[in-house]
Amino acid sequence: MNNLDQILHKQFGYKDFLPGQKEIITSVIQKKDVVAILPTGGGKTLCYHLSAKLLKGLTIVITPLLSLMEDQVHQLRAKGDKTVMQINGLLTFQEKKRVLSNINEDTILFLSPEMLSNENIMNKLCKLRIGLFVVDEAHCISQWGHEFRTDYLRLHSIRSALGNPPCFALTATATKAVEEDIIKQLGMESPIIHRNSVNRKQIKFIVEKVDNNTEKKALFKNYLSKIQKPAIIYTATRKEAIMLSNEIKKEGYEDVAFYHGGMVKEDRLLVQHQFINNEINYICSTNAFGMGINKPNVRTVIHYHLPSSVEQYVQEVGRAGRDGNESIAILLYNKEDRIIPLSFIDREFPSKIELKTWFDAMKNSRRSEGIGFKLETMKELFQIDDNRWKMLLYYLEKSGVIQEKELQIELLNNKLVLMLNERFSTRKKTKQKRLIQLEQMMNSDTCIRGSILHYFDELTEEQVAPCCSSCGFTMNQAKVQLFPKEKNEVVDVSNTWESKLRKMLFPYEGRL
Amino acid sequence: MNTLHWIVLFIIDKLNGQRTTSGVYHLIKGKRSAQTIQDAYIFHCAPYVSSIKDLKKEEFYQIINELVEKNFILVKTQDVGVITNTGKQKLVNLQGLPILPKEFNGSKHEWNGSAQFFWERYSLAIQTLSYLQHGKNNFIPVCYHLEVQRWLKLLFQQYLMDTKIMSDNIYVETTELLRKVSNQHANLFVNRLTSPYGTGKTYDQLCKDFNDDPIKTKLIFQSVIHQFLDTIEKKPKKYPFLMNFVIKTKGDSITNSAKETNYYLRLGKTINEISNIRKLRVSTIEDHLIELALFDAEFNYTPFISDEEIKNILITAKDLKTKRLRVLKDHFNPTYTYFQLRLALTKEKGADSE
Repeated sequence: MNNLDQILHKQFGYKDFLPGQKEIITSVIQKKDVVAILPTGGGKTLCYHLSAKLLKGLTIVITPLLSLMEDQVHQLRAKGDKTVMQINGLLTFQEKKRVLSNINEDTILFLSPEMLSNENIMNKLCKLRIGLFVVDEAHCISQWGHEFRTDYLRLHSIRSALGNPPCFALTATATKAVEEDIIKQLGMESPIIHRNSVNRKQIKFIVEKVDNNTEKKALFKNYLSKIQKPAIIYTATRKEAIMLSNEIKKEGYEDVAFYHGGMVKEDRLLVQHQFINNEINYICSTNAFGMGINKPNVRTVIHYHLPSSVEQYVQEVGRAGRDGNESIAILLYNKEDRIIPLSFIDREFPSKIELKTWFDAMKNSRRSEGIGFKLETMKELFQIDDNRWKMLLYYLEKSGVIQEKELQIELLNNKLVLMLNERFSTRKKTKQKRLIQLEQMMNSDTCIRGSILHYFDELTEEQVAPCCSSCGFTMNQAKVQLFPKEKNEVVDVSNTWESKLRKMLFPYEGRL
Repeated sequence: MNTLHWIVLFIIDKLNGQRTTSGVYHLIKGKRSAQTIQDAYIFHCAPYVSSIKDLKKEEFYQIINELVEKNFILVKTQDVGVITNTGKQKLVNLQGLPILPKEFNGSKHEWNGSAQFFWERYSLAIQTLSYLQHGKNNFIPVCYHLEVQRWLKLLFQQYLMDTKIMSDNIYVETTELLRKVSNQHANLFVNRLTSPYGTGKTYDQLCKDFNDDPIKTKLIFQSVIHQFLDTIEKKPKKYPFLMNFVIKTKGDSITNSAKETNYYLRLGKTINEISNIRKLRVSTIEDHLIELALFDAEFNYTPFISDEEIKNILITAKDLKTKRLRVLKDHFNPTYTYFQLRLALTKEKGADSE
């Protein structure tokens, strides 16, 4: 397979494959169904990007997060691959139409899953030869995965409608159970499974327990003076992200910014670019930051709170050390930390009272408005957020209350409320259990790396040294052992706006 | 009390207890409806329309709650917001502070998106020229809109890919414009730009010089763009290159749907006929007519209401000290329809409107 190496080198500009990539691509281009479980930073995108170039026919890439899709598409296009296109809810009607009329068998088309219920799009896709059907973040298809997207459940039937093209599912984090679920839900036939270890040896773990938030802040400041940059600091809430970035500034580090999903898009992009270009070195963020951001030199990830699951923790710490160099993941943990994720879980599902109120309203408005009653009106009326709404629709469809987009109003009874409530409670409990599992892992004295591997049904084969705080690793060791002193980057200090603008547009002037 | 609080309080004062808080929200956010733009004109706060386009509902209601807690406003039944004496005093105390820059004109440049149109194109053009001038062909664009990217490609073709000439042009015209604003504001503008020397800064990163208030910073930045657009509009010959960046349907605040309605009107169709042809509700068609009455100088309203009747309504509104349709309707019932009353109110434009 020398051929693959050449393509990698010539078309993609990389010298070597990362572990597992070559084997995965080989299976995919043999048109087999493939499941690939590659840790964060393992080069998932390249696996389908390169395969797409070698397979005849259009490549569809399904990916759940809009911002992630945008970043990926624009990064790939910026590297010069204009065959990469996207259709998602962020595009206007005209834009969608334009993309649809431009796609052909060379296209790599990124789609958000809900776009596949759009008839125009499906009609167009059915007319083309589909060479590869990629499902990124495939764990979203499983109710046992840490994130569950009801939209993903339709992928199986859609793939059939497209003539069953070879299916390539990728994820960074999947337990055995989730892996099996992915295969089943996507209807994959004797798939080839490539599983790389989640063990990222270059990442060292530190967990510190504190008694209260004052202590946590003090400890954080202490770490701040010791850690290597660039660093990502994850917080539980937007408020906390802003607060910590102010704290960091107060400590004298000016190269910091906060980031969260509520920021306007332009500013979000600016902060991302600044971080990628090493213009800022500390970023305080909610879990909205990081996916799709390919920054190889992140040296430290700090969790200022407890993430919601082992999967999420692993994914977030995985953003450190993509370049293969030593990095550190620090979790500052306080017993009360669990309150916020627990309340998030609570809010994710409708309560019994809410269900009852909604159903009553649906019934009443149906009576007063006649046949014209639309489900969407409900969503508006009660300001139900997207996730809870989709969750509700999914279960209503599943229990036959919605049939062919028609609401069977007579089925909206108390029995249904009880049944739905039961289901939501079960999902809630699963999520709570996940959180508790992570908490226990971080609370115990057993090796953190070992616990993570165990969680993903992996054996700890070889010793990693240094490993984690449970194994005796401390920050003091880190600084001396692992990192050479970094030199400061040169900062541009043109002072007037006019000279700044001149410098941007006329780079050679000064050198005459 | 930050800028956002101030704007909310100011608008509640202007609306004078005649609109709901959600009317206030729509005004600040710049909802694309005839009602919102009409409110802006009849209550003399046109510059404030769309001043904070990305304001979230929760955020807005939190501010309302804070203003209520501080006893600056009262929220009466049916969600109507009224300013208190304490609130009025607060506004008087703040009067000396120029919170919204005088160049800022939301109804002219934000509501129809012309400022955004300009900035998306301008910032991407600077980034692209700057990178190309530095010999760098690969970069992640600051603007993800494909439409904007395609637009820029066309512009480059138009200038035969001559980045030197384009850079010269954009530099000369930009400096000309920036000399008209203060140094501080010019710096703010340039610091938002992205080049190989650095990514543009966010409002949070730039707010040090502006009372640490990112929203204030943003409004000042937007006012610089508004001033650009006003200047270019006045002397287009002086800014031939930047003219490319100005939205073609300049100053045109009329929605496409209203234009279509106008087309049928000119064919001599009635409101009901248009409603049938377009399969739209009568009230929607009426909204279109209000839009046309506000923005289309050639729109002929006399088939719907006479000048005499308008005068009558406006005088009554003044006597009753109200601009609430319900009150006017109760008074006139059944002489005029709601639609006629709204139409009449469009003719009472404020001094600060365009």
